[in-house]
Amino acid sequence: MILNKGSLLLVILSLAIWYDIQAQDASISGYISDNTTGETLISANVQILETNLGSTSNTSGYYTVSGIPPGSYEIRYSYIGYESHIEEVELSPGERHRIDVDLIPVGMVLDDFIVESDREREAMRSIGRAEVSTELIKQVPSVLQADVFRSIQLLPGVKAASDFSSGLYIRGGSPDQTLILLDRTTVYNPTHFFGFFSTFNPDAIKDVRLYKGGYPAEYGGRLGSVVDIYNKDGNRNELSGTVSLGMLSSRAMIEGPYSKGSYILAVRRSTLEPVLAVLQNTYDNIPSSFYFYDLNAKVNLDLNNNNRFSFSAYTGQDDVAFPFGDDLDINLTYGNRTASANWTHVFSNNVFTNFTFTGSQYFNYPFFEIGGTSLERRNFVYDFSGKGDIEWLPSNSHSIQTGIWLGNLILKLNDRFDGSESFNTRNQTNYATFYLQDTWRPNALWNINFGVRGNYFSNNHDIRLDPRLSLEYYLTSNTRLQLAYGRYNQFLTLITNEAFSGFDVWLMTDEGVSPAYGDQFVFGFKNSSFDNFNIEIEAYYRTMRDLFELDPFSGDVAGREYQDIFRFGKGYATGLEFLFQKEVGRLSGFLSYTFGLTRRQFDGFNNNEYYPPKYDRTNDFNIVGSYALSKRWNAMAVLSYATGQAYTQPLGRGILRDDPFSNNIVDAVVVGKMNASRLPAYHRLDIGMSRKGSFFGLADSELQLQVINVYSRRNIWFYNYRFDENPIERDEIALLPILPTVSYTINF
Amino acid sequence: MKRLLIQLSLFALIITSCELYEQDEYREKYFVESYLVEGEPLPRIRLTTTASFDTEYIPSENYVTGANVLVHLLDDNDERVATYVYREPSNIGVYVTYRNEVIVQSERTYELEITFPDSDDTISARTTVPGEFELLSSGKDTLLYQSSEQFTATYSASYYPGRQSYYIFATRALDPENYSLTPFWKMADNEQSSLTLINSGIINEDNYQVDDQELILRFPWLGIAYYGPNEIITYAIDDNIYDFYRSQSVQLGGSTLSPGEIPNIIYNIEGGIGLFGSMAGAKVRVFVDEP
Repeated sequence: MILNKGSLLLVILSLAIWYDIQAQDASISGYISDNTTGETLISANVQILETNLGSTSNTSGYYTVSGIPPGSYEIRYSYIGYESHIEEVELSPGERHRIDVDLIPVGMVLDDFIVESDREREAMRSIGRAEVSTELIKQVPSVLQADVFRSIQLLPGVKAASDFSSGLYIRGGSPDQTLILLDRTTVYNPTHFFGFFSTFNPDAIKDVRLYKGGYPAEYGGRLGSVVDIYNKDGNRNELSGTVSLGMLSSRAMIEGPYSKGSYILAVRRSTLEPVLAVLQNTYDNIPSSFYFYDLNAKVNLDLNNNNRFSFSAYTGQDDVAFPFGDDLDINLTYGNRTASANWTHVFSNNVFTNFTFTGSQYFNYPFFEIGGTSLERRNFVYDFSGKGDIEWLPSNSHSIQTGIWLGNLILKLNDRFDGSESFNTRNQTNYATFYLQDTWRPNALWNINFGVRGNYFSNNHDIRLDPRLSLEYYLTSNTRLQLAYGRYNQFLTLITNEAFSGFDVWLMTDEGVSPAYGDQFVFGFKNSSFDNFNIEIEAYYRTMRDLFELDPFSGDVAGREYQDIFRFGKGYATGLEFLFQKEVGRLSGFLSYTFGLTRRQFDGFNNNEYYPPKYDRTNDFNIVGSYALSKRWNAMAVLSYATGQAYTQPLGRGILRDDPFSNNIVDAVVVGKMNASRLPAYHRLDIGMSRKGSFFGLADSELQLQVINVYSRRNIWFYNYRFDENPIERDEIALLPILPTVSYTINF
Repeated sequence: MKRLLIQLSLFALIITSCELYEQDEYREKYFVESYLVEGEPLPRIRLTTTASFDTEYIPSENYVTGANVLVHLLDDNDERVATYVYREPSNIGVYVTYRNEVIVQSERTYELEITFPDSDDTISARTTVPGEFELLSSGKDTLLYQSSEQFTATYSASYYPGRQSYYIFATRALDPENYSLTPFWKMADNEQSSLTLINSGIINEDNYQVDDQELILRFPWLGIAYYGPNEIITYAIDDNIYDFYRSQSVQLGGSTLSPGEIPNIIYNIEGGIGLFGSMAGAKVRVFVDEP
């Protein structure tokens, strides 16, 4: 008998329920929520005191502790930033006890009340994983507006391409090697302002979890890493909201309860129009239209204790129109739309299921009218999928997860030149993935996660199996050694430029274009021996094989075979990351250092030698510090230092003097090795102050003053060469100068 | 813990002190330039050297004189069936053959061979000339700029072994005056002289071909820099011109490469760099009235 994936899931589910009925040990389970808002808490800790039994809440805020011998227990619930809660319980044989818990958030972290370090939660930090709190995202000094990805870029192993790019270059991977999920839905262009900011509104976000590498079998589809973002559910207890005015954009958010659950609506829009109107009166070539907006909405339907539904949607768009003098108009619109419907169902105390239907659309419409000739593009990505996940805890030593993800992906690209179609392609594929993983805790010293993920892409009938394994060994109760291995496959590639994300185009594997794949090896050391301090060290090595990306020399692709527009290659990355973190107390923050090295090799390029991509930075160092001056005042600073990026140094020059196609001299630049030189080192200090207060006694308020690049370091982005000079002159194109920003937020 | 930190610091120091990928140094190279045009006499060949990027480029310091320059005509089996000897009439690195009766032949392969009397250096390159093609018909020869009626022309299709044809369209202004620049090009920050001959960049045959025999061109208004008489030249190009120009354009930016990533040009020349290319062309005139 051959089982398909759906049947296999049903079998596992039946087995889980049967096993659950037969068991004699007791178990506890339930939701862990915020007491004031009712928001479920992800990764909250549950510990049965004086035992080794415990668990953490999943992405729905649900936890299960199984295999508890009958008896009386004290159960401790804890979460960073919340008061711990102790629950006493008497468990009889086979009892399935449901305990939903609300934790109380603590207020200011000052001398009179210091939150204790939550070592248990720290112990749950998996290898290659990092979390970014929404509070950090809002507080860290950032250019013009708070940004999720800019905050992530401060973590070890994560690099930024430039001050102008929010793209995530994680452990030597390019941005398309990171899977971006919003409420379990893939986001294909997570940028605003052509790459300057990410699309995620910090007001709407509940949790940001980053898997830098060695990620488990429940995720897949990208060679490198995963950013998994969850929107807030909305306040289940009372109506509340936020209004924030900033220099670039303003935000508003409202959330509250209704009879069956909660809702949240968050909007953000750029507010540049008045500035542009003033500039248009003074300067030429100012955009006639330039805006972006995004909207996040979510409705939760809490049907009963065991069934919760949610519907969430995101839409965001950027639009710019540039009338450049006579006979030149540029217009670009691009954006994303996502929607997801989610059902979480508690089958039994130790069987938790989640079913999601997702839809994701990315589009861009560049339009140029030059000298009476139009060039236009209509580019779409449509991704519709359904996924189901089951978590089963047959005992306290095993946590089994399995799931399927079925979907249909369409990539459409239509180019028109001078009113006529010049290129038209439509790639469609069905995809199916299945995973099975077990987190096994044979004893108090070992934590083992092993699994496998199967991937199927219908357009080239490719089936790939990805084994995943992570081992964790407790040297002491506060010190762990970790080891992870994983195989990863990627069926998509992104045509992009680090300087501008508005023209991004995704392409997929097809006949003659195999999926890229790679292996990751990660070694970790985690220590929380010192009060309130965490130390994390991770070393990684990863390979990238069968890389496929648009050949930069491809030019006009009309009439060429699909595989001929790509270049194929391989690469590797290795590095050592160090994180020293103090999460609580009056002074908090972290120090991160990364030694990293990444190389690429493409056939017929750079004499077939490996070379460093531009974003390769050998040393990367960040200090992020926050100091609570008083109950109202808070100060924050970020100091960054990094090895200069790689660039290609022109060595010589030849000249075509008889070009038959123009009257110009054509310069042929002779370069040596690709990217063998380094720009000067990058460093920058950002500072910020915030003051909490009251808005006419009606609501709480917060004023933020920040200065980016305090000492106005002119970091260099790249060199530009002026060939009309002899000898050729080199200009330094600088990154951001000193930049003050101010924002005002009202919370009601 | 202190010991661990020291060890880690030492490890980082050792690693970072090693230069893992060193910048190489400039080395002078021979630079060739020549374009064979189907149906025309064998062209001149320029031979120079490259110059260091950070020094002034003085042409006279880069001439390569005294070279032995030959061009061979090959048959289908790559056997040499004719050899043409080039001379250097003046010492400026320009070599010519005086055999004006020798016409570049369609779909034939030519081989460049350069040797030097005082060194073992050799330079060689080959080009296969694209198939000849011709203008079959054209639309109105006088048009109002940016009117709904664009210039159209029908050409017989060129041929190139192993691939579709690649074209470059160029417009030569026959009576260029500053006041007769079209609005877009007037705004463009170019010296006037550079706009008297502008081109489309490389465009694949697949954009135009309606069947195996004909190429129908609807000429975009962007290709008109001057009102008045213009000559539109359609070139079918060989692999060497195709590789050179598609890679040279990437050096100027605008591709998927990051700013500051500069690839070398694809030259297809042994023992040197530059361009030894060939093409076939067809011309047509059109008069553009100012609205």
